[in-house]
Amino acid sequence: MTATAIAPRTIDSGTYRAVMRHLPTGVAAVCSTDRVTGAQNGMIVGTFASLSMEPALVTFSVMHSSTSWPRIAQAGTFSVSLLAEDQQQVCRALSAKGEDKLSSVAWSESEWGTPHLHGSLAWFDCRVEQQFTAGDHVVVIASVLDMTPAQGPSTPLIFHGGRFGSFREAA
Amino acid sequence: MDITPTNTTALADVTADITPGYYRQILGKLPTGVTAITGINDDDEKLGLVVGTFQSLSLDPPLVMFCVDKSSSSWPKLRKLQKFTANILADDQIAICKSLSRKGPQKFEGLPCTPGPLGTPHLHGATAYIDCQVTAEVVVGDHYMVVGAVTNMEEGSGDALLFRAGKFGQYLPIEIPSPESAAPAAPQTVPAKPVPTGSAS
Repeated sequence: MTATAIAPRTIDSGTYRAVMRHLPTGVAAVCSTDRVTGAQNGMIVGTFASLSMEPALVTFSVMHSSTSWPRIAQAGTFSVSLLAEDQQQVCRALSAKGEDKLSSVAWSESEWGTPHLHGSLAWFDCRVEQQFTAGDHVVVIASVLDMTPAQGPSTPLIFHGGRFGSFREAA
Repeated sequence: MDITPTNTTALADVTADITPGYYRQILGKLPTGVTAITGINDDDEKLGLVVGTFQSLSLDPPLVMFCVDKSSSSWPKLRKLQKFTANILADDQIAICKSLSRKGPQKFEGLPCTPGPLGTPHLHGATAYIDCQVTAEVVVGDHYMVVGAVTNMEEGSGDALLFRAGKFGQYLPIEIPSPESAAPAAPQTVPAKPVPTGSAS
């Protein structure tokens, strides 16, 4: 399925970015292990979101030009590690180009065979259910096979206004 | 179009352990912005609902998306209009969020707003306004996924309201000696972020 825009092209990319900077997002690492080579692949998304409770589904979107996502998806089962405020380095490592991005990151293999990044707030083991193209992105819909919270209190990493930050509860 | 997973029997088996309560608990760890989706019908009745799933989607063409619970009573009315404004709420608009989350026609009472270019209400004091035509809607599980084609967007005032683990909050900048080269570390698949194109890998 393709969602085609019906709007005239009056929104330039600078305006889109300037306005959407006002929307804060969580930061999530999407990772899997290649079934053939055993190598890990990973990428960072700022669009991870809850979708459906029954059945348990989550969603995120990736640029259709992404070279990481097809490699991650090929494994069939992948993990989402929800990053904590002190995991900016993890975000940088997985945003970089190149192979073996998880080599500088501490992780362990889950019972689903997916990499869980240490120090994250929660881990989701997922399976791709559907993908559809919407403009220059692909929307991924994934079923949740398992979800695990970290022990103890935790604070999320937030990307907002072009910067990293965290969450402060309203007084 | 319904793109609920077709292999639902197998899916039900694996996800059976994930109760709605557990889903809420774990997904609650994900911080979100708070966005009011607003519209107005032919009878001048203002319509609105609040979502935590409003997202940037595509830069070219400009698209955004959000998800809304199938049980929403406001969305069927908004859907008929095929256009809406996404008002990204500011951290001093908790009362507006609560007001719009109520059921019934009195939601907009005492909420100052101005019609935007599509005639849809712009709530005063929001941090951004994104006017959209609905371009696609799909049923996914117990939610509708709505894709909007952006026709107009403008910045408002204030800083964004956040929601996490059942609590409202604010963005807290992390003060670290960050090199300028930190920019490429931005979540790369979000078109709204100032990342060099081509860096997504």
